[in-house]
Amino acid sequence: MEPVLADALDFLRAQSPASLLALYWYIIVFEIPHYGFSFLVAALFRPVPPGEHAADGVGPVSVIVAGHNEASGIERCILGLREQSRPPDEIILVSDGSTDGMPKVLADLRRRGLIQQAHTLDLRGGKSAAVNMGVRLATGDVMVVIDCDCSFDRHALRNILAPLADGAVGAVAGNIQVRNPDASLVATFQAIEYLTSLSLGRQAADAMGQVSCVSGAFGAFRSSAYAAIGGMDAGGGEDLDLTLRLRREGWEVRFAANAVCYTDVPDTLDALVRQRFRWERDSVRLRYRKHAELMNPFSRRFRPRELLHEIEFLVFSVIAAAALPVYLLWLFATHGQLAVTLLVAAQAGLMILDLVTFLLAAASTPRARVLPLLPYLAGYTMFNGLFMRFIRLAAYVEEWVLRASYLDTYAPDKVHAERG
Amino acid sequence: MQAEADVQASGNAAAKTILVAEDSSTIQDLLKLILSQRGLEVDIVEDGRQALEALRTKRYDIALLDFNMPEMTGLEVVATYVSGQRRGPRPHFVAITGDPQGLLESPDNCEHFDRVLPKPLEIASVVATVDELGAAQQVATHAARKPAGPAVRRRRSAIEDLGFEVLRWPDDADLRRLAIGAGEGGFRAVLVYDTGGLNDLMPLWHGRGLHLLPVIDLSGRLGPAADLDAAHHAGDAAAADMIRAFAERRLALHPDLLRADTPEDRLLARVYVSGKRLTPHLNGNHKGLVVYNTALDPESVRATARKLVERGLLAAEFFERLQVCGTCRSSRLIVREECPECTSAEIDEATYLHHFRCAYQGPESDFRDRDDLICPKCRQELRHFGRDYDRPGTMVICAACGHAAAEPEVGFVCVDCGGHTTGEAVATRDVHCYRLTEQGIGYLEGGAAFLGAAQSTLRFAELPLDLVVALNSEARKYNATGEPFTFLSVAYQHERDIVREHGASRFSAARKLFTEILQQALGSGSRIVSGPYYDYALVPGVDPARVGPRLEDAEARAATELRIDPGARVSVFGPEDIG
Repeated sequence: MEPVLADALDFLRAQSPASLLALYWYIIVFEIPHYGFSFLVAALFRPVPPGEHAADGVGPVSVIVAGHNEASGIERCILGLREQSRPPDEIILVSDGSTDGMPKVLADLRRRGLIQQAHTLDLRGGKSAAVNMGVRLATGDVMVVIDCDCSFDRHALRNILAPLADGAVGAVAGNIQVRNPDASLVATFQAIEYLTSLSLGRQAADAMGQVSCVSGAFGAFRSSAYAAIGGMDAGGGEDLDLTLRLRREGWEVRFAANAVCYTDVPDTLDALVRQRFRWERDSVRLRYRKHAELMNPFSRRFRPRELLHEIEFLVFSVIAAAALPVYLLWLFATHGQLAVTLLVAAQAGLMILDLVTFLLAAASTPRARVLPLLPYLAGYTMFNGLFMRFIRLAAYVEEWVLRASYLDTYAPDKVHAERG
Repeated sequence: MQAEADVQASGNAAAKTILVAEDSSTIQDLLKLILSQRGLEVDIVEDGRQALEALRTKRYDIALLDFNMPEMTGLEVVATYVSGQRRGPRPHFVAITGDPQGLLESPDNCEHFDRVLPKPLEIASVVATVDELGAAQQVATHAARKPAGPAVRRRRSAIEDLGFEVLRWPDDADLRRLAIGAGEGGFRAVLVYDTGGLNDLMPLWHGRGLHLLPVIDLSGRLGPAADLDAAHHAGDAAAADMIRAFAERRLALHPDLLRADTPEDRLLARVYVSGKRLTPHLNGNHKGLVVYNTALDPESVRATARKLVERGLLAAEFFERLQVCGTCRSSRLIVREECPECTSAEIDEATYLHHFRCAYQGPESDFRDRDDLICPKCRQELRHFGRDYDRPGTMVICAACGHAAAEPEVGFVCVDCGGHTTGEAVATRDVHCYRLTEQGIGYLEGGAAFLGAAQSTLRFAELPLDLVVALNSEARKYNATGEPFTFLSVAYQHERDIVREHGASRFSAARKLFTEILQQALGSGSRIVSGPYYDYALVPGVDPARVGPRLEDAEARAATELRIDPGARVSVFGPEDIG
């Protein structure tokens, strides 16, 4: 290997900038702008923690938790919510067709005064419908929608509410981090991913006014905005859908980097792949089918400011994924055996960029656990840059060709049949 | 008598002087001994004329008059005295008679005598009566004196003609009649013609054995608390059987229990005599929703029975679990479904509708547009159940506060105090049925000795009369010359077991042998007297400390020589314990 590596380095040293560009066009086009942008944002817009009183005028706040078979974890989640520096004014739980005794747990929580409303649906209707019903029965001016399996940093609620002090803001995304980075290598990689591309990426998007997805795991919505657009539509990907519709109606959407919550990510490759297939399928379906008019300059729903995040998604997610096999084939066709070495060299370069990004992200994300993740950065670069791109590509192809999102089980069949 | 009574007497300065008119010298001795022990100044006269003389010359607080005396009867004495003494305080008059029922038949007697004591005299009741009258204010008693005589009897049950002395409630519910008590020469049953409730009948539990009588209800108000409900079904034969059965079981009771004065012992004896378990019945007339088959208020039954269960004398069996109001402890509660938020019972059920296409999910009223269901979010009409929409669940909506919840709460409202309790927080009370345990029956039939308790105080009431007299003279001697004496009381712990296993004769043989061994050990100067339940020994001229070794000898010999061990427990008393 060593002689090959030496050869490769000699080869690289011999290149002019122009020929380097020709050699690494994929990286130059699809990777460098992303990194550069992250550096820029991290340098220019260090998120300032909102002050203690930043969310004082916001509220009252209703927290909506909808869950299917979440009997075991729900109490811990509620106790965590009540520990918040800014506790919710109302907590509404909805058991969505649970068969594990969750309704009993909810009734017990209500009796103990830990929550204000407990509702039970005997038939599962999917997350959208369950959350909609919770919101329908809520009384607050702000709805915070969370998942049962999330746990919250002490100031998370206060910080997610702060941006809503601005009346133009219709929704705020929370900063979701990984609670189980030690569960497996896959989980560790995701921890790095959530810290860098998700957290830092959304900070960048926030700086540009381009936050396009408020996660249903931890998001805050202005009740009037939520009601005006009729709440969530039938899932999946209902969070992206809701955010796009809010943006379409002219509401500002923000990302609160300091509103940190933790969730367990899939810890097997299999589960991760299935999760990402679902996400990517829904993204494609929503962006290019349901909300295609957002990109059509001739549509009356066209909004110029939506163009940026649409292009970002198109270029850096869709085209980048599609171009990767082309680039690899081209590299091997042109350089034969040397291609492997060239790729290793490229990965080495990307690793340095990843390290810098990671440190910037760590600095801007409160209470990030940095050191235990560092040794895994090298592996992450490969995992995220190559493997996950192929997964994404496979998901896009599947959705385009097979319309697989219409078959997944995330929403019940009765909903799929009617959702359109 | 008993230690506690002594304490009471020493603190009781109300009654100081007492006149005893009694022609039997034994009873004279006895009364003098007992009463002077209680700190009273006792004057004794032999006949009616002397009694009248004494009453006229000296002020007495209490006069105990034998009804049948030479020269003048007790009644004549009182009548003559009262007619000459219209004003000022007068003593409490107590008649002593062998026929208390007959005495009280005459209205005159009722007017003149404050109490009647039946013969043969029981020392316990003499002392109780003297204490009671002594504590009462003389003048007040005089002034409060009501014209007596039997009230106009409204009804007369055929049960009265069965030939048993019956206590007619409420006509006989005055202290003089109640003092007659139960048993020989006393009442055999309680006939309740009218009552305000169980609390009215409380005096039955404080009289002499009245709680051991069958309570026959003619008022129809006692329900299961009566032993026999004769209001609704005529039951002369049943009544007669019951009265006899009660009497038989009373005879089987150990005298310790017949004379019992704690609520626990009284209830225990009552359960035994009734021949039935103490069984609760659900009954809406009581706050506790339960009445027991005994004429005592259910709360007292419960509290007392629980103590007896702790002592192993009663066994409890679960009967029912009742909810209890946290404020007033009543079990009369309304159970209802109510709003979890505001506890209003005005709640309606509503179904959720889920519109699949747009994910709107809410109560049906959101969708309802006359006959149509229109989705409030997308304005589409819902036409096809199962395809367009379904009904995934229900909720209850409070008409009072508008709160919506998955399920109503269960709540309780107290009928007695109006207090509200949630189903979660409501306290419960377990109601039990009680039966006598082996231990309990042993105690009832074998007395305190069965439980292994030696007598710590001497109960004169149980002593044979000649022993009391002998004891009295020893005490007098000790007071005069300081010559000591020792008094022993022997209880037999194994009596019941031996009788059951070997027969009564074997037990009395064993008991006899033990007393012989005891007699030999104590020496020839000692005197052994056998009572019905206990044996006694009087050892003149010997200090209790010196009796100890002799007693150990006797017990050692008994252990080797007696094939059947009667389980003798000997209590030793000296002059200080008696004088």
